[in-house]
Amino acid sequence: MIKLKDNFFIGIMCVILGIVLALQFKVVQGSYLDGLIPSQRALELESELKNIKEEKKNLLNELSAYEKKLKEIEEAASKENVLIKNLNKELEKYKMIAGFKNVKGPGIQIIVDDPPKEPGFESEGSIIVYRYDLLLGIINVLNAAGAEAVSINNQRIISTTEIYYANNTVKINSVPTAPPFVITAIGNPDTLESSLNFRFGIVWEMRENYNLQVNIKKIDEVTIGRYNDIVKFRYAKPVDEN
Amino acid sequence: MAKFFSKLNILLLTIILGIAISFQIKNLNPKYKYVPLKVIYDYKKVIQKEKAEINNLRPLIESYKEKIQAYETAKDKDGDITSLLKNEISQFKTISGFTDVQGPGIILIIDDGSRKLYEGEDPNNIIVHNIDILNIINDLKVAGAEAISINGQRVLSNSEIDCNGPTIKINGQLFAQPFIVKAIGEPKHLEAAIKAPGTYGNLLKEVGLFIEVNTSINIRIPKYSEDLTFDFLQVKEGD
Repeated sequence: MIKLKDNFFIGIMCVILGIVLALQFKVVQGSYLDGLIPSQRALELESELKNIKEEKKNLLNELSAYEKKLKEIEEAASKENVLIKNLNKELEKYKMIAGFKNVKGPGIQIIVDDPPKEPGFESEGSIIVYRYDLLLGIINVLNAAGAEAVSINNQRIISTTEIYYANNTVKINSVPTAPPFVITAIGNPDTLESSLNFRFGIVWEMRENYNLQVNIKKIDEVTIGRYNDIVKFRYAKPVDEN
Repeated sequence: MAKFFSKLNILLLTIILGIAISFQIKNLNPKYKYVPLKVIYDYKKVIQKEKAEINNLRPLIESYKEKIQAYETAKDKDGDITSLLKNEISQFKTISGFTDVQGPGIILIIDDGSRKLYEGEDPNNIIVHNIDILNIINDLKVAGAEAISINGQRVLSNSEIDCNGPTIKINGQLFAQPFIVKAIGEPKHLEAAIKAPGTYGNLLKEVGLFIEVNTSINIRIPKYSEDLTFDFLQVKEGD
């Protein structure tokens, strides 16, 4: 009788041990990108991100402070001299064309994202990242519709801007970005919107053939930031006009 | 004796139960929550992006510092900053595409294919489309092209390459094949961007289009010839 009782207890202990093990396995187990890991790592990364964002904000502030100072010098000089004033005007014009000025105006915002995730059909990777040429297509359509300034994920599109796939991200102005892609453009909002929504056009193709989520929104005033890097031509040299 | 053993068993069981419960409670504590790897992955992506932007900002700030320094020295010397301004204007004119430029680069000729069609093949396969030009221009930019022109039209950020029936519209002007693309940059890199296996240019060649690349030590690319007016754009001041 005693032996039976002992065996019975050992049996129950084994069951409990099994449950505990199963719970632990459930927590640790999981496929890539769906598995669970302690939130401590996430918190670390979150604070790192916060620091980096703070640093970027400081640098941007510093940049605009220097910009202001430079402008003050130029303005002080142009008050004394008409020639300098005209030169200043010209400089501002070419800076604007080259994309080195923050600009605002009416326009549209397009948000492109991967197809919604369906349970059971988890796809590996992202479609829009591989088909970055669709982004090129959108920019081209916007340009054809008279867009005056375009940016993707806060990266201003200037004449040397390249878009390419690298390391599971899309590099724009050699800054890695990931979906969702927010494309902002300044121009006539109606023209921009309807040329995108052209039947069998680029957005139709993206929705029908690739099942991508594309949202287009007209906005009364969008702001587009300047190009935040130095452009230095190493090969192309200006030709003397005289 | 038997009673002692059964009590020992119960003690052990309660200890294990306690441990199991404590594990569960630990999991419920928000500080010890478990997050999917996807979240970590996304964080890493964003951090990568911000770091790249910061790396671009630093030299930009340095260049501003230098500029202010130069202005101040010029002012102390003779109070004249005209030459400095002129320098800067010519620099930005070059960047924005309003001066002719020259330098080493490539000349690329793209034309419709001349081979016979296969039985029932779509003729579109061997015809140059605007999307082909668009992708090739992007490939050239990735390879570091500094100035690009198509049939003599400078390609800027706002240049459209639009399908217009048998012609292609660039900067509001019409062009027909063959398309002659000129690009200034490191000639070897640019050539590779068109010729290397797996590139868009190589794909077009395999399909049967006519593509020819020649490197050159000196190429001249004309300035943007149209008048650029902004109807909607305004410079955002301050902040």
